[in-house]
Amino acid sequence: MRNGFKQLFIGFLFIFIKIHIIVDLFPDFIGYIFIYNGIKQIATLSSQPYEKLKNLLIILVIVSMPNFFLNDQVIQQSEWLGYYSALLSVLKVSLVYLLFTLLQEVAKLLPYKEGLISTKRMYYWYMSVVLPSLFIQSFLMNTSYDNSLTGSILIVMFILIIEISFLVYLNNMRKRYPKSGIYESYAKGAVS
Amino acid sequence: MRKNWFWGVISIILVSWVVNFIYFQSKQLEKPVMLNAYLDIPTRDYTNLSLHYITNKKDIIELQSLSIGDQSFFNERNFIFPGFENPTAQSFKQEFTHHYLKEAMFSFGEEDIKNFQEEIKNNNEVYATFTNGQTVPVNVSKLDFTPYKTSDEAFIKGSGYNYTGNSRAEFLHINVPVNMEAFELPKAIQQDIDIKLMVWKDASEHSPIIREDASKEWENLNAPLYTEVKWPLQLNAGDSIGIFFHTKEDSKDVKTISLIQDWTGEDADGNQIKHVINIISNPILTQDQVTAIVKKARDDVK
Repeated sequence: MRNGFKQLFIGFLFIFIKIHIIVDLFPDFIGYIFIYNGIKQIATLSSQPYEKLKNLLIILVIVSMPNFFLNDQVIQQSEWLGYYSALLSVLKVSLVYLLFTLLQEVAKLLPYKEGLISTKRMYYWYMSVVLPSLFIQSFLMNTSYDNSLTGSILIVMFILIIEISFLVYLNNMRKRYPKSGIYESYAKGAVS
Repeated sequence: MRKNWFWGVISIILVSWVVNFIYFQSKQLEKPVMLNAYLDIPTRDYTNLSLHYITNKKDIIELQSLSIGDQSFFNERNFIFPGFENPTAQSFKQEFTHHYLKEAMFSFGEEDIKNFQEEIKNNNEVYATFTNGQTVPVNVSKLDFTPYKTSDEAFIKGSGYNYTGNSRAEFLHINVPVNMEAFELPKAIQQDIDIKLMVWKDASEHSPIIREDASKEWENLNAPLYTEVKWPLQLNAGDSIGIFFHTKEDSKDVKTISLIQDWTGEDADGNQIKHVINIISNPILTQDQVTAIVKKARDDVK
């Protein structure tokens, strides 16, 4: 379980960080492969279905591949690449939504409630920030440059904060699980 | 229902993107639009000619050259260099929701003007070529160069200019008594430009009343339009006069205007005198005017 969260953390870190030197040094599609491995481990250990997540991740790995070659300047200069970025964002928030559905079930397995509470809190905050941002973003193309710039800066700031919070949450969740298998550990605890 | 809230929100977001995209596309121009121009330009050693045009904001386009017959003249305000295009760093006069109003400037030497005038006799069409390779005809009500004229300084003294938004003013101080005749603007620009004439009796060029009136909005100027003045206009030595020009904001055919208008009269001895009114009006557009221009351009393409 702990390793599963570690894989999720690394995966989302790859998607968060974009250092472009000829190509993206932290490719998104590699991140999605890490996330798939993490989800697979977590879902298997907690006996949760993950078919939808698997299908969505396959789509994301394929769709995010061009992003490996695209830097922000190129995206800004092309109208169509702007829509591509929006599509990636919609797919990613769908992934996070489905992931939270899984994580809420997994958090219920923890012997204390803090894990479930922090999962639900993160879920509400994430959706409260990202979904309105995507909605507002759709109007920016039809506003003046000043409004568009102000809107973009605010959205980037909010998204930045929520993505960092999400990474911190994943790391904290990883730490909540013992290094050995959770069931063995809790089972031992229950016997003693 | 509660379970599906997320997909409902995602659907709304996707619909919002599609609707905004369709609206955005409905505002795009296929080609830049050249604004009409009425240009009767006084020539000097180097004569400048300005033209204005509208482009899509998302396109990185600038007017590259004007061509008439075999002659080509290059825009001195073309700041786009291949490989350095940046949609957010374009030069423009005005910014609108989806478009920019841009200005092109051409500089003509004496030889250029001769060649230009020769070509314009044989070719009616002037074409503008843009940095993306598109070429559009330039719609001009008039395009001509006339020798530079000077006013008779004996009876007047220029005492300054004023410029605010769509209005411009020229102030003159009268040295000797004169009777000024009526003048008429060319028909092609009568619907674009208004002129008010304000006379201040016994007012020196530094009079505070002139400064006060000069700072007034066009609507608040208590002066007759040139068409409503009781001609001939008698001016005495020591009077001052303000010639206020205003570009009409409701004009549907927005133009770049440059012309020299003679205003003649005679002094007390019956000698003919002349003042040259230099009218320059660079378009300042409203969003509604741009929307109308874009709509007309899109309808013309259909």
